[in-house]
Amino acid sequence: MTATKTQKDNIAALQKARERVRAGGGAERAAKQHQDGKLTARERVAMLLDRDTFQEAGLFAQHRAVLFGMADKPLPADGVITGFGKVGGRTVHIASQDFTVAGGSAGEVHGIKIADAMRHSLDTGTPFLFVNDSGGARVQEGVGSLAGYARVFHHNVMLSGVVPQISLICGPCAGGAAYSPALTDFIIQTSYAYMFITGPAVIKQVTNEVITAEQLGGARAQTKNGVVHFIAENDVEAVKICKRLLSFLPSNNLEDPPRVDPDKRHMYDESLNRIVPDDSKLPYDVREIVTRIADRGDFLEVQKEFARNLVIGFGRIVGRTVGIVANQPSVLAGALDIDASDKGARFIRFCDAFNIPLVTLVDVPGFLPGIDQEHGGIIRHGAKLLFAYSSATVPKLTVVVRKAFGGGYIAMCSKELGADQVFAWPSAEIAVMGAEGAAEIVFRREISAADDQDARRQELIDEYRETFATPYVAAGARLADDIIEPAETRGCLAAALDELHTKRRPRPTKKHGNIPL
Amino acid sequence: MAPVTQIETELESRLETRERHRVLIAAAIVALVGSRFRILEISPAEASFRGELEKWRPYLESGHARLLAAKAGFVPKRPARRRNVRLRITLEDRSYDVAVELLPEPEATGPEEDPPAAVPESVLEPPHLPDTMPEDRICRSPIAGVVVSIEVSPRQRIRQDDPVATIEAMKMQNTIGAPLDGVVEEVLVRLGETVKTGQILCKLA
Repeated sequence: MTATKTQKDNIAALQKARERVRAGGGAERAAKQHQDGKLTARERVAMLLDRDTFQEAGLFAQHRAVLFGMADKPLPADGVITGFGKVGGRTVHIASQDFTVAGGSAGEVHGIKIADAMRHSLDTGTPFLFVNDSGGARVQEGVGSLAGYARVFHHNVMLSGVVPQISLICGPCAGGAAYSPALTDFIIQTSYAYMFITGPAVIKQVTNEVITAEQLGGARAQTKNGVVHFIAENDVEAVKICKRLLSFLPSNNLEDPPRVDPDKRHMYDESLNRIVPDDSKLPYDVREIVTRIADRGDFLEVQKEFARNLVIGFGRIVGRTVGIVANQPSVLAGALDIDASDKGARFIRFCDAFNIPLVTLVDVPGFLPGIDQEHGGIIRHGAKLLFAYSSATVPKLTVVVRKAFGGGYIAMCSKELGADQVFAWPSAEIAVMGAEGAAEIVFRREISAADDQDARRQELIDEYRETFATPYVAAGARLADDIIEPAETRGCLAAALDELHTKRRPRPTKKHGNIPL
Repeated sequence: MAPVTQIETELESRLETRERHRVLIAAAIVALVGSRFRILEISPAEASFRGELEKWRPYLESGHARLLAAKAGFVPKRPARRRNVRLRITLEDRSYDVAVELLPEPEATGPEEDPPAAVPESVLEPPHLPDTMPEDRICRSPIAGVVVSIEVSPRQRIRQDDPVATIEAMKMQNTIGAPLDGVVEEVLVRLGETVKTGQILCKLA
């Protein structure tokens, strides 16, 4: 018979219990985590959230496994820290896997805890952040562990398009686990983390190919193929990128992005007049234009290393977030290919889901010709871009900078595809194709009939160029709303965004369209 | 973390004055006006450093810009605090004129940022395991076209994204960058040659 416990005893016991669970896998493993170049799960949560705003849920959650000696093996918080807090004053929900507890392995309760946090995200319309650092499924729990994963995936899909979801890959993320990040909107991976579906051991066994985990699923590999959106040098930088990204986004699909610190300067920026080279064969970096259009030159590029012929990312114009999509003439002549179409389409769909107006900068010679492109299904992939632009109901502004030829012109948010305003620079050439190709077709007979065919050809090319390779024909056909001096671009975009911020474009009721995936 | 050493090693590997000066101009500007600026114009224009600034920004902003610029013989004189300033930057007997616009500090977008918690050194400089494949050392043309310039020669040391060759394709001059840092082992194309998509331009050792 023991004496009755006082509340004071209870509180002391609670504090002790909390301390024990919060220590995760213990000081030794935490030190090992640091040695390996990683912060602990709790340190990451603390760094992501505003000070003293974290409210944990499921601190005392326990796994239910009894087999393989698991019954008397408590796993603190079941290897994942979940709850909510604030980032920049706005509520987010968060899950952070604890590698110091059974290698961050995902069991059934582990999965349920993550899904619970996601459910709260959905109910409250707040972003969901998921920090991945896990060795994989907790094999001892068998299918229960798989059920946990599936529950998370299902919730990822339920949240998609309702609240922004951001995954941080700060350690291993292997096997089925990699599909949760893939279902979210953005993935930030640190330079030493890796993700893959089947690892080096299985690959060796099945195909006899030898490769390391870093080569297979390191940041380098996963950014080149577009799986990962942002690469971070370390955990601290990953947190910074995540916060910066969140600052551009609304908390959910019913809100507009926060209007931050409007920059009203540079409505006339003369330096824009000097970016496009006079020789149409010379490339330039389209980001030179992008950074001059965005407030304070602040542009967050997404998927920098993937399909570099199309630049996408977030900026602000007079405080309003915009999603920028721009052909990059310095890579593959700025032509659209399979990867660029996929990259652009997904970004457009994200912006549309979260009320982010689209600004499209066009300098495109067309779709990339080539056997690999055709056999790789450019028809199916390119169609995604058309689908995404056409179905987007957010304000859509298009600036034709130089070339806008053929199918590429149509795909880059042309007027009839649904652009609300199309501005053309005087250097714009909006045409079915380049003057050389067009003259060959239009004037074939005339050229072959001439005595000096080359001279006549050049003459007709010049004639075609002067007549059609200008923005005036397109503006005459109302396919461009205005022809503007490049210096006026930021001012025109700002005015158009202001005009369009009340845009309403109801669509026919349907379950969903059928984007050519 | 040894940012200065890292930049200096990097600079030593840049054989051409012009290349080296691009980084140093960036350093000089940061030393003069701090980090909130944007470049309006640089003359001579080939000194324009575009990507360099972003690449080095974290290092330059960590207080080493002044040091670095000083080593190249640059003496910072604080310019007038106007919105637009024109700077003349003289490095190793070469002068550059730069028009710079000073940007105001961005206003805080939320509650004051917390002072960063102490982060172990091992976390700031995480171990980096090799993640490149042997295939990555081969620079291929991503597009079919004609080689109109070759920027590298054997034994030359180059950095990732440094221009390797220019391919004219789709009526555009496409600069092809190096896939990795390395030393050029072999150049496999000639000027004026027509290349196919995926054809090898050069190999890096």
